[in-house]
Amino acid sequence: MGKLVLLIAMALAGAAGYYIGSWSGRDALQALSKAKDLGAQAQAEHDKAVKSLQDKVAGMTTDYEQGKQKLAADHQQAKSEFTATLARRDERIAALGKSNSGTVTQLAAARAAAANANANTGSTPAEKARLQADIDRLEKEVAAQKTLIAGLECSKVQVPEELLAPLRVGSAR
Amino acid sequence: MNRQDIAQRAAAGVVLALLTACAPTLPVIVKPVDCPVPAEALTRRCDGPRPLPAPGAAVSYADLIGIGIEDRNALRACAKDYQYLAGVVAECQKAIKDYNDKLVEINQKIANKP
Repeated sequence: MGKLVLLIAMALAGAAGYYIGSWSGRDALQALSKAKDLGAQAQAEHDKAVKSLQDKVAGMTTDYEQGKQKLAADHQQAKSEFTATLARRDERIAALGKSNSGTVTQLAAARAAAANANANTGSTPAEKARLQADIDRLEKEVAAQKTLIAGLECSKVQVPEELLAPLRVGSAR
Repeated sequence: MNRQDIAQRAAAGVVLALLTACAPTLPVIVKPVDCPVPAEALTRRCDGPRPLPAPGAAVSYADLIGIGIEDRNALRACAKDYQYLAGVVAECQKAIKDYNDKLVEINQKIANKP
């Protein structure tokens, strides 16, 4: 009988201990639960930040690679055009010279016509102005052709060392 | 140590092992955000200007234009590489700052009483 009472007393003490323990640990459990939720939230923020950054960098990398490919293609084209221009240079100079001779002839004719119009009192001011406009246009054309020919001829000329010297600055000799 | 002691210790061990299984797992909030810069972008280097022929060697104006075409292309490529890297680093800095701000916010919530 005594042992039974003792057992009941132990069971009651155990129950009381469990109740008191659970009561006092409630705050800790709540804090733990909150920390768990916030931890999950932090994990979600991390995953979101990583995904967003990876997407942005992937987009930037694609743009960059496309830009580099275009740059390489443009460069290749420019180089080919330059090489072709140099290869046709003499032919082009000859063609421009021929064309320039024709323009010079036209200019001489236009000047003669204008002189004739100025001497002829029957010519209208509009006619004189038209002839002068022709002369101006042909003079510009001749000058442009001469500049182009001179530029193409110049490309063959050796650059003097004193002009090259500033480009050598900073390079190993 | 008698057999009873061993049995008691073994039982205690089993109980402790079972109790640990009931413990909640809390994620550790220290994961960093890495900057995903491709390795080859970090090792890429800009080309310097092409060397001119040695003094005394014949260099025409056309040769100089040819060298200029190559140098300008190298400069453009270098500028593109730099712009890309600077852009990625700026994005990374922004992402890391935003993430760190979120962590501060979350830590503040943990510090506050429920």
